[in-house]
Amino acid sequence: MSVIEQLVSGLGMPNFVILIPEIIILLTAFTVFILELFTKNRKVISSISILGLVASGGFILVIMLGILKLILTPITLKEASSNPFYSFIINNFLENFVTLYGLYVVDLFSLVFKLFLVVGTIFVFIHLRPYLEAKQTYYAEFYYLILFSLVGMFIMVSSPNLISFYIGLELMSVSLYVLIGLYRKDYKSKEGAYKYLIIGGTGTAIVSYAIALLYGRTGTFDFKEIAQSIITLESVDVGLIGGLVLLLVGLALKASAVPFHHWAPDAYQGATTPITAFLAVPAKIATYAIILRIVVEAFPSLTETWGFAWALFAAASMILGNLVALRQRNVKRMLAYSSIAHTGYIVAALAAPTGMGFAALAFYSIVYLFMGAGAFLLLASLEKNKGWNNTLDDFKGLAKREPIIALLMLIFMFSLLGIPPTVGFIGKLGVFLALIGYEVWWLAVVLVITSIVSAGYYLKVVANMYMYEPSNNSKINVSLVEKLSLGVLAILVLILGIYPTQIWTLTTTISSLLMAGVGR
Amino acid sequence: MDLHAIAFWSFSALAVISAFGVVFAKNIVYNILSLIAALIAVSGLFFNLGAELLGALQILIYAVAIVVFYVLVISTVPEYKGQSVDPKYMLISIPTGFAIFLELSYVSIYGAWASSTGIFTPEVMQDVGNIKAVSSMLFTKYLFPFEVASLILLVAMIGAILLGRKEQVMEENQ
Repeated sequence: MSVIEQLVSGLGMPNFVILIPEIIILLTAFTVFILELFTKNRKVISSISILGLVASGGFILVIMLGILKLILTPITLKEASSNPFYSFIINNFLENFVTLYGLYVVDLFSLVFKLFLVVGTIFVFIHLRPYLEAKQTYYAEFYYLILFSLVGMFIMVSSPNLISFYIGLELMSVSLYVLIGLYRKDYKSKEGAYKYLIIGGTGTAIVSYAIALLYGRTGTFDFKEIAQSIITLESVDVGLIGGLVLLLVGLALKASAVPFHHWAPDAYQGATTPITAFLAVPAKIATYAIILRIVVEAFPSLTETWGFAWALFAAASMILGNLVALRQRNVKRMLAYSSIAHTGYIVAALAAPTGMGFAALAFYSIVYLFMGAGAFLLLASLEKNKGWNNTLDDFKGLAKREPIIALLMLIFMFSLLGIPPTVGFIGKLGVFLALIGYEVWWLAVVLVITSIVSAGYYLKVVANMYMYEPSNNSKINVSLVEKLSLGVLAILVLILGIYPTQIWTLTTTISSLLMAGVGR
Repeated sequence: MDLHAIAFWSFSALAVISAFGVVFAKNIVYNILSLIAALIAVSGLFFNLGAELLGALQILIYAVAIVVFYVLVISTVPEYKGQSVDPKYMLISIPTGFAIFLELSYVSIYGAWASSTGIFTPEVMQDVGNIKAVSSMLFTKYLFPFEVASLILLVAMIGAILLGRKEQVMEENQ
């Protein structure tokens, strides 16, 4: 028997059951793709997209809760296997969770991140159609491009291998380049898309070169095998350093950490605002997740070095992002810089490579979903009104014109700033405690000081809303659905701020499972 | 001097000379012509090393497809737009490029690279050849990235059509 025959006969059927969420999303995308040719009914298209996401997210939620129950409560395997639901989970998600010949892994870590990615995308979809219609820039392509991009993120968060990570990153980024440029007759959108295309293309080139060097050094693409091959090595050589540095640069570029952030403000400002929310929240979360997975699975012996590199990126992002945001007159651009600063807060947790640090990273990136998406989507709702340009002056007297929206904006601003009853405080507290626990004092100090600086611009918005008389009293139209969806986000921000235990337990569990290598 | 060495030195010399042509020729068509020569010489180096698949791909993708794109661009863009506008950037770009080149060669030469492992030993490669070996991996273990790549191409195609088409004014009466 020749080698190739051996290779082929050794392959079984991949386990497709664990790919059901991805398959649902892809099917939805292609349904929209074809349906868009036949119907001009926009409500049908957007509701089908949301339905697909809800189905996929529901499946993930059920499986996730099942796994948590099996892990956290002492159910004996015999008891569990008599129950068809638990035996389904054990067979598919606890035993055969690596599929597609070792290139795709569906563990609890990836399931949690996927769930929140889906949630974020649902909120984006709710606000997408009204915005596009108000701005006369409707393209049905938005829907399936967002879904394709989401599949790319799914591949990213569940990649155990440099190749599937790279291909997921590429699918996500290519869809995003197109999505940013889709603003009808708007020069800034094209400019932002072009900048992101050039800089993001450089980023993917850098990542691919890093992968080539790491492959050359270790002889494998698999995270776990890379880790083993590095542990057996006595000294770190130049090939490995080259690969690591390039990988860091490429990932920092995708996460828009300073000094590789130059694309972010222009792309964020140029894109249609719901797409900005998509770009600022789910795309970032997927990047943080893969950064975390790479450090834990591929370079467990180099966590110190990796953490120090990210500490430098984090400090630079926090300082520069917050200082530049202070000078912005346009709230959308200000929030773009605030998102750069939040990249800093989140990756700062990597400077403390402990279970606490990783849990803090996962927690903050998950809760950033609610406040970041909330702030950007609120801008999207306001922007639909004629004459609204997102400047700080536009916010003057908003509390008198539209008290509910002003209150929601207040909650999101307080949460982004990190004031106690909101979840932003808990996120920052987690990162801070992790840094203190690992005695990275300088970064903790930078975090606190830059948070105080950031009050300068978040509170400026709040002050403009509440302490000024409105310059014009024209009615602000925000539909009930939008108010409801923003309200849900704001309530989540408040509830999780008061009662963060559930999500904190979840992130602690996934970080300890990830570190223990369980689920792999 | 055996035939391999002769082929190596002649292809390398050709590649370097053509690379100088790419950088220093004044006429843009000569640049492209030198580029083709350089790419074919590099592909000759690949053939010489026994990487016949890589050599063939180099000719097919770079010397044919990419260069055709360049020629299309040259024929559609007016000539004055193709001239260099701001030579002052060369003061930064040439040293930076040279530094990157030095860094890359240092890493390539002094890195401790892993020896080849796995089932495709040199003897097996003699037996089955490059193309069979690569495709058997591509269509078994790496089938998933291969399929996702098709999705990426689809997205890129949709994007090119969407961004490139003329914007028509939309009727807003639904």
